Amino acid sequence: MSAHSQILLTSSEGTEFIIDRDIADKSMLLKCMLEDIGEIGQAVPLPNVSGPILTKVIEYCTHHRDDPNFLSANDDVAADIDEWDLEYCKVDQGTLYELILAANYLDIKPLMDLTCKTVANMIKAKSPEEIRKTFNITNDFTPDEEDQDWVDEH
Amino acid sequence: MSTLFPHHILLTMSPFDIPELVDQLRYYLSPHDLTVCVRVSKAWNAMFIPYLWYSVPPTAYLVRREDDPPLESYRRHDDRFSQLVQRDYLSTLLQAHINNNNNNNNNSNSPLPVTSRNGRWIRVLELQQSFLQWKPIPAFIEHAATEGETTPESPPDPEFIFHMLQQCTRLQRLQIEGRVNDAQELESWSKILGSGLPRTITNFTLVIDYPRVQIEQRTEENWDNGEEEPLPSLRILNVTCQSSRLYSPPLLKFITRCTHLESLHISRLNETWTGVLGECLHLKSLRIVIFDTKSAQLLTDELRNGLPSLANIHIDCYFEDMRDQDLANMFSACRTGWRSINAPCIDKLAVEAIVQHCPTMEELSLKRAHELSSKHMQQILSSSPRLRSFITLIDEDDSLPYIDASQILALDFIDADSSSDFLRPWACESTLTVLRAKILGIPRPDITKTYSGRPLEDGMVLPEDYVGQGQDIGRRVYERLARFTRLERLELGHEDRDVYYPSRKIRGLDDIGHQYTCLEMSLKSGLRILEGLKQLRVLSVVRMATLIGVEERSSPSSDPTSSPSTYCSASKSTKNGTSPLIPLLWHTIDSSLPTWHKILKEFDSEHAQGQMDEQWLQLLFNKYAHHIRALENPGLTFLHMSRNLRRLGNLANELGQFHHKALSGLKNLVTFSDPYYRLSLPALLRSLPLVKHLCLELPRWNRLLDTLELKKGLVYIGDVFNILKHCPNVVYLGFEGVRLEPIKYFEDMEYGDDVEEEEVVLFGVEDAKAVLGGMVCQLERLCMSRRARFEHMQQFLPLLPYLAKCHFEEEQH
Repeated sequence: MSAHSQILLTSSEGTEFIIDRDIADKSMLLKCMLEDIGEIGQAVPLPNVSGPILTKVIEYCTHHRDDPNFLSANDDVAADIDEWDLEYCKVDQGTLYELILAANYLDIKPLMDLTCKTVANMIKAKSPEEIRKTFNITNDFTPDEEDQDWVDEH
Repeated sequence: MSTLFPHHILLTMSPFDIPELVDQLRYYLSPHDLTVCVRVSKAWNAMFIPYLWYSVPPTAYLVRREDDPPLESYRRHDDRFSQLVQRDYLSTLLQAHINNNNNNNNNSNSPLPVTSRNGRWIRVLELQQSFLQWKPIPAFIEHAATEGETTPESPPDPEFIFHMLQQCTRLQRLQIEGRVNDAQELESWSKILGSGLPRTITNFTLVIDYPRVQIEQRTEENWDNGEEEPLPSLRILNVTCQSSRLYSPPLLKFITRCTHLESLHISRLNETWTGVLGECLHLKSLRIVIFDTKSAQLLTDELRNGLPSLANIHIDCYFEDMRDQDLANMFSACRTGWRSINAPCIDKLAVEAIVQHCPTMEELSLKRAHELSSKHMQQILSSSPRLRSFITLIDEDDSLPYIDASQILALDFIDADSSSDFLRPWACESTLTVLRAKILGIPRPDITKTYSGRPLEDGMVLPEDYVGQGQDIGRRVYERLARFTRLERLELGHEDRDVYYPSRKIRGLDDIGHQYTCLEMSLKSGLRILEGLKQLRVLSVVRMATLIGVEERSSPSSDPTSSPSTYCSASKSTKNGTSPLIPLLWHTIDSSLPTWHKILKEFDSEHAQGQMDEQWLQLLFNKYAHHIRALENPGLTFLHMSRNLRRLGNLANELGQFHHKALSGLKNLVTFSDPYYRLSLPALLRSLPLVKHLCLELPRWNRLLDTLELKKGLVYIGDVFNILKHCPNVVYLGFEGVRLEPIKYFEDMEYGDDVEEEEVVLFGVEDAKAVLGGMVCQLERLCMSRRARFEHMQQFLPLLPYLAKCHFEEEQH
């Protein structure tokens, strides 16, 4: 059985991570980089991703390592999130945001979809006030502006 | 998970600060969600407004890719939208008026009207002239009155359209449905087509009608003089008309402005088009109506002299005497091979011309082709290396039912080499994904009666040359089918009876077109050979005398885990894509009921006499039960119960027990359509958790059985919410032929019970909330009959936040 080649990644604080090649391939950024350059002796620096977030991302990719549908992932907006993914996303907002940014930077589409769906679910079926509370946003509308917008769309 | 590093900084930054990420997020938010988002804060408003206004009227979710089919649009408040547009138009007029009168007093304090303000975000627009009809707005009249002026004449409706278009400076896709009622409107339309379309437009669909104007007048005029700016982005143009009188739209000069047109769909050509069509250098797709020889020849000339990029052609033909030679000429006229051909009625010459395109052919659709012979079909299938879709049967939703005569004979389909008896390889074996054709010519000694139980006539079945020949041939047909490894849709039959108008049913009509020399579709005959078709998603065996539903004794060699009923062994479907034998079975329950027609006839006369024979009913149930057993297939995801059953209204109670048993096993059902929702209701509420599309019809109102059926023709609003509660994934709920009853749902209420006036309690919003228990309904489409009386449902709309389309059907008596 062939040994997977391994890749060395460095997070923004300098922590090193060793992962298998096929897990790294889930990230289109890494995949293309590695295809172009071939085997690298040195670590790939990821200055935009912190250590803990990188751990989380690797966790995701490892769990979905054998998933055949990984890349043809659902464009179906109504598709349900499966259990493991749901649990995975039960993190505080800050972490969730960083995951989105990391998924975007590393170009991991399914993780991007998952995190966006999660944020969308936080927005759905809420009133504006509830949304403000959830995301800690101040209401800067003047009262009449607010009315007008409301009228606008219904 | 604890926080990572100091978040004081991070909390102020969020993905909402990055436009590209918001761009991703918006695909998951429905229009309703967006309206909420724009009210959160100014920053959010600015972020989400473009998406909210991206498509007017809004679609359920935004389409991701250009080639995705357009989604259903949101027609909840058509009148509100038209009011918005009118108010916009009027305030612009008013503003201009005021500015004229008060030269230096520029009233720039008043905010721009809504559509003007947001027009620049609109990318997809759909307008219907009938919805934009002029209704004078009080404020305007008042203002005019105070100024001592008369209310201006109502502008022609197209003016609103023009005005709207002026606001949409970046529009990409436009669809307009309109009418030209008089000369004044014609002028407005000329203006729209001449200068009204924004330069950015890529996709333009116009459905126009001339109900009252003479056709002759139209041939001379053009809608614009061609001197306006070119429209370089326009790729797709559809201009069709609604009326039955086909005419040629005066679009010649317009076409010359569309320098990069790739797809054109128009109603008709006439002589004035000579030379123009051929100039469309980039045209890849053409869809056109041919209605006489002259237009056929015209098109042929254009094809010969121009249209160098044309690859897809779709011809609708509305006359019977289309000459074979004309069609043949047309098909031969093109110099490069075509990729897609969709054409009707053809004969030998035309087929030979089509065969020339085989090397490049990818999609072929020859419906209503009487003269397409079996050998021709064999020739096409065997020599088209790129063929993906081969269709000879009309679609289910075609307006007129049609009994397709074209068929491929089993022996031709098998196409075995005469000396070695191996199946000759066919070029499209690894590419074909859609096959819709009748395969006939298989001897079936098991068939002894027709569909309606009458004795067989000559020529209906084939006799065997030797015992077992039928089985052998059938097996080889399966072998050939199994070679199409990428096959996704296999449709060997289609509904060609006119099921919507029972009064038109002629006795015995059901026998015509029913296939008696078709595949058996039983395990014994070799159905398992199709196991290799892992991509198969749709199988249709409608109107075929198959043995589906008949119990088979498991033979010693077969899998011991297989149950006697046909497909059960196959249904251990797993999640990861290893498909069972036939993943989806598209099957109307009555497809093999021989005596159905007879029973219905008897029932009508029995009932008229007010008698109901016990014994006869028992017989009926036995037959019905036999087919219910065929449903015991947990892999089944799409089930459509026959509409014919609806005539058995009175038997609802008795049939209920069978219904219940059968449905409770279908755990994976996603789409379910049933004429007897009352029968299904208990099973539904307990065991169909994955159902997304529910279509629960009820018997049509039958005049004879007036009182009786009326009581059964009810759905209680409580039921609706019960269903939504227990089937949380339902996105489409259809009740046809139904009267909506606002009474509270009594669990133990029997059919036919008369409820005392004072006992009646109306089901209200609070009750609905109690039933739902906080669950958010995913329902997006609701379809009911007009008798439903929308006002009953209206109060519940806030509980259905995703409801985009509430559709009321016309009743048909």
